[in-house]
Amino acid sequence: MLTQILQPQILVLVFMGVLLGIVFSAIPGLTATMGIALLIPYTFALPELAGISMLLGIYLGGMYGGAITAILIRTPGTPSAAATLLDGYPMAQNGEAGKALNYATVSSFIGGTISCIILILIAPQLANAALQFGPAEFFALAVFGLSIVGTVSGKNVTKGLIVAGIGLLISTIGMDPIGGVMRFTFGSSNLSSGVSFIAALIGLFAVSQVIKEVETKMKSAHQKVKYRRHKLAIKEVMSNWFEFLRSAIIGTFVGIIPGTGTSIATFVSYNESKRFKKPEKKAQYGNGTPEGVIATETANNAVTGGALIPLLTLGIPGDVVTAVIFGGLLIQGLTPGPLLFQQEQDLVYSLFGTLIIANIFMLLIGLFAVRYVGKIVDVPKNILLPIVVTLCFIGSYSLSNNLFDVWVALVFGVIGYLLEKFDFPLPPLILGIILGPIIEANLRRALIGSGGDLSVFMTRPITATFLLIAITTFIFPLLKKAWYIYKAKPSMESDLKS
Amino acid sequence: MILFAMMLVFAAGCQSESTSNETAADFPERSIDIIVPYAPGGTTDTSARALASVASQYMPNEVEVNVINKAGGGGVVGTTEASSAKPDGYTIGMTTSGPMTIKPHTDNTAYNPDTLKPILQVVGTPNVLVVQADAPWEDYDEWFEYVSNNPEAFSYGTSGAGLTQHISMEAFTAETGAELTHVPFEGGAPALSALLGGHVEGALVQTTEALPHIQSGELRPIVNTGTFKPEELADVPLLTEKGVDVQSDVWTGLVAPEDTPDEVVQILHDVFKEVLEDEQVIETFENLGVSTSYAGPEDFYEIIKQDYDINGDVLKAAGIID
Repeated sequence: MLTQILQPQILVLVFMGVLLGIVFSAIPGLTATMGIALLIPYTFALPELAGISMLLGIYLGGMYGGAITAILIRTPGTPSAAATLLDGYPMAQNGEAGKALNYATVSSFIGGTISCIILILIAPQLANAALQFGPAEFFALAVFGLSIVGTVSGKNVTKGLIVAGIGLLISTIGMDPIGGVMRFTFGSSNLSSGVSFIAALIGLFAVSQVIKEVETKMKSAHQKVKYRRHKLAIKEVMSNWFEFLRSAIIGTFVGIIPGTGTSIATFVSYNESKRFKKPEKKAQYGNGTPEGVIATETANNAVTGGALIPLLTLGIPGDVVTAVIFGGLLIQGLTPGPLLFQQEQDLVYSLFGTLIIANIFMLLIGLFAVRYVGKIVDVPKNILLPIVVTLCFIGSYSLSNNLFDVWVALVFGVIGYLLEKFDFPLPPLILGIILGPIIEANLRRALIGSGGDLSVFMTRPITATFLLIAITTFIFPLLKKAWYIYKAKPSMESDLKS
Repeated sequence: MILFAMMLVFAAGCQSESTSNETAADFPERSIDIIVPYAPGGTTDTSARALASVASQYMPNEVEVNVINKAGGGGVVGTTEASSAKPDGYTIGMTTSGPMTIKPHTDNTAYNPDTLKPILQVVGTPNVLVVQADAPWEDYDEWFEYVSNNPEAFSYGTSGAGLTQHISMEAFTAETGAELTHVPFEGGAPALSALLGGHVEGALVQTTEALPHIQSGELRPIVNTGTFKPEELADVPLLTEKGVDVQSDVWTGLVAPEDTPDEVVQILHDVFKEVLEDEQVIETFENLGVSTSYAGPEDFYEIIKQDYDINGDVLKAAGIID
């Protein structure tokens, strides 16, 4: 097996794949999915292992590359990097771009490797667990995801809730997932499948940032951020071992559940990272704490191993990227599913081997590239901003070669700018847009299945557990606040008396 | 590498407008674009790319054939684009039964089957109703007896509301009086995983999607709702064989804008008919599990028109449209 993997041809193709994946996901609007789809025709002529290894390389690189632009120019190249900018961009603004990028690279490597090991060890057992997720479970998981609003809202939870509500409303645009009826499309077929999520993401974070920068530039002389090099010490990595491990496990498990996607994994991981921290530490989240970057970047790369589990063992692609890889496998004459493990065991384990190698390549490329790409923060804003705007618009257009998506990015740019100007946090909006369709469709599916009986959300163990955690996550901070106010009250009264 | 990526973007984005006025006699003089109304990577896209990769060998003047993805609106955006392109044969669409015969009823599309000129049908895939392998129903008759006697007890998943699978089942219930519970998912794969996990009792999906699970013994085919039987599922009866007059496939075909000259359509038809018989294309299609299903311009028009009319009736009866 080892001799198969270590052929020069395979190594070169995996390397090319990882590099291409990083570049594709770093550029907003170009996604790893597109990279894989465009390269599939070239794999027609390659041998099985070589062709698929290359596609897996793109997949892996694609999970990581988005972090680079998220950290440096607040433009998440892919949805999986949306949570990375919460702390990554503030770090870069504090002059710690090098550190943020190094952490992102190492996190991606560790996340990818741990999930790959889980994939190798217990793939078939876990696959069946994934099938336990029915409509009621998806609903509960998504509600749990939504309860994270408090964590990503920053100081003002009320405003966070309002914004999340707007996000949920936006997510209802398009065809009703159950009845097939058009909603809020105003007769435009451009809106019939909803607002393009990636275009909205580009608008909310990147375009709005450009508007903001232009405004500050007009008002005052711009303070310049200087890029500082950061040398990664093994000790630093080791001291965060628990952060890495927890995030990797969260990423892998969310990845296993078909149809959940990387964005949920990153937000959940971010939430869990913050949950058990001391209050002083909690306050640093969102202002540039390395743990934030570790949590999201470890989780999104850990999704890769997780998502490959149902794909390879059950023949069920969990998201768009794995669906495209599914197509790539079919073209090679391989049908993913239970038979693949029995009939093509050699090949499957060789693929796992190349995944590990792809992770190593990603680490090397990342650590090497940090020295150069990090300097982007030194580029004067009057040169950088027009480039960012151009990238945003080309990116939005190329999503589906549709000018309409450029308008979406522009409109969301203005929305993002206005929201931030009035201190409304943006991440809850993203959560609302991502989770809205999952919550709605699965709530209705679960109720169709139960004939309208709501007890289905309490009698199923996984569902009940998730809903309980969601309620706790949401209520606990409020109770704590109420407790503090209650405790503070007597002293206030005594103050008044004296 | 960045340059390469940027070039791909621009290549995907650029569509040169022609300035000269060619006549049909020397068609084609430059490259031909096929608009695929879905994102890269799906079966339609991959099939189109397989056709495009060899098409230039068969084209007069050996011109290139490019695939351009215009996703959105369940195929409507790209199909609209293809129907409103300059009718010179240089821009054609590879579209499917959904946007051609269902969406015009539900979406108020700018096109309908009569404003597009069919070139040829490329792929046809029937749908098959599958249940878990340990389900109590061994065959269609047992299953039909169960659903006839237990209204709304049988839930089935499909790839979405108002799509071919859903409409076929609505037509089936209208025809037989059986009452089923429909649970729409986002695509065939989620519907299948819900079935495998026991969250629905059955699923109606394309035969190509169900085949691996049938072959591995996890799922049992009950009935085929299409017009023909794929080789691997030769034992599964068609609904029409069971006395229920419901039959429609999910198909893919090439279409041109309405005013494209007939001679140009003929040239394109002849080329792509040959492409369909190309060995490399046959092999790719085989691996993808799709079966070529050729129909010339007239036959293809009949198929489109018939599906369009039936779908309209069923959608009305099901209360999805007025």
